[in-house]
Amino acid sequence: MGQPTPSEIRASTDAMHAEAAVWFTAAGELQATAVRTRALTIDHYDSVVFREFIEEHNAAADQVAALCQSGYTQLNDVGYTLGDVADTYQAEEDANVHAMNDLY
Amino acid sequence: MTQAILDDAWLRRYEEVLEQIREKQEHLRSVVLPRLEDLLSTAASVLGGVAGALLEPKLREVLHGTDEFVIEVGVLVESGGLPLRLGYDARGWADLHDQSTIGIHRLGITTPHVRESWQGLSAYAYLYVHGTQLNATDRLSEVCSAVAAQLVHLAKDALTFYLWLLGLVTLLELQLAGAIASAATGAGLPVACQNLMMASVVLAALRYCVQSEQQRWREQAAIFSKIVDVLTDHGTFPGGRWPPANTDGYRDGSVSDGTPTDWTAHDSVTHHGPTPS
Repeated sequence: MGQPTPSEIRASTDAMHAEAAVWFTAAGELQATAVRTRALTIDHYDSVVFREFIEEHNAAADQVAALCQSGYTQLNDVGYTLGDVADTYQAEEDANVHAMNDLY
Repeated sequence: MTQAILDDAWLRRYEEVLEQIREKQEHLRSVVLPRLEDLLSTAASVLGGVAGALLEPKLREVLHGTDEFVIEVGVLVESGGLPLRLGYDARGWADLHDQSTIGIHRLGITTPHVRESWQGLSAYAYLYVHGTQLNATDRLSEVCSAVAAQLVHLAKDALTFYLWLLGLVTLLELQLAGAIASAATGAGLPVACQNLMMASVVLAALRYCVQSEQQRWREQAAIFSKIVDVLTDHGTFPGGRWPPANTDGYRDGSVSDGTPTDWTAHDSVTHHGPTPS
């Protein structure tokens, strides 16, 4: 394994940006899932036959929605972090910092 | 995910069965019950002392049981919309499963490039977090699939219950009509008594059927409680929350800041990574 060329580094940081975009897409999907899951909760039915079931069913739907909403935040954080890392790394590469300090 | 989808024909059949029960319940309430009450009030005078005395207790018992049951059937039919709604909702959960699966696939294809082109402590920390996020998405997908399958199961069993209900209500209606027609004449008294005995048995069967249905829904509540347990499992969802991104472990993009937690590019780049969609 040798030192990467500038074009290889560019390919790596570009790929990291692309990967960040994947996380953003996945985060958006989780948020959409949260919205759709909330629509699957059941309001009310008169029969006592269903009461206990409805409570547990809605608890499951609420928990899925809550998880998706917090997942949306976490996945976005991963995406933003990767983007920042790629920008920082590429900026140092463009400034020749890596080569000057033999820091690959 | 086709097993989680109830086709339109099935859902229409369910709606038809509910409508048929609703019609029978209304007929019992508005036609049969008033006639039974008339019969009860005139039994002694029409049939005479001994015959009336024989018929009256059974008639009173069946009248009371039918009256109670007509109310209960009304509530059950109105609530019958719930299993139907769950049948439709199963499609929504199946869609969520499919969507999650796509997300898993998308996230799953990201790491090979990172493994090939990056190393260092940050890269390893990122790969670990990638695993926890993928695992959480995977678990979420499994739960959506399980919920969809369970709702389909519930809706199918509910149709079975309502078909039983329809059959028993029809039988009850026939026995009561027979009793009313036969009791109009003294000669038909034995047949009327036989009809009322049968009606009594049908009412008992109906009560058992409803109790079994109640028990089934309680069991379903317990199953959904377990699903909630999965969603709060500490290993996958610590504290009932999505696993943290822990970005502090891999946010160091600088190799010149003197910290050891760097990302480090190497020269084994073989492709240009995933294509965002």
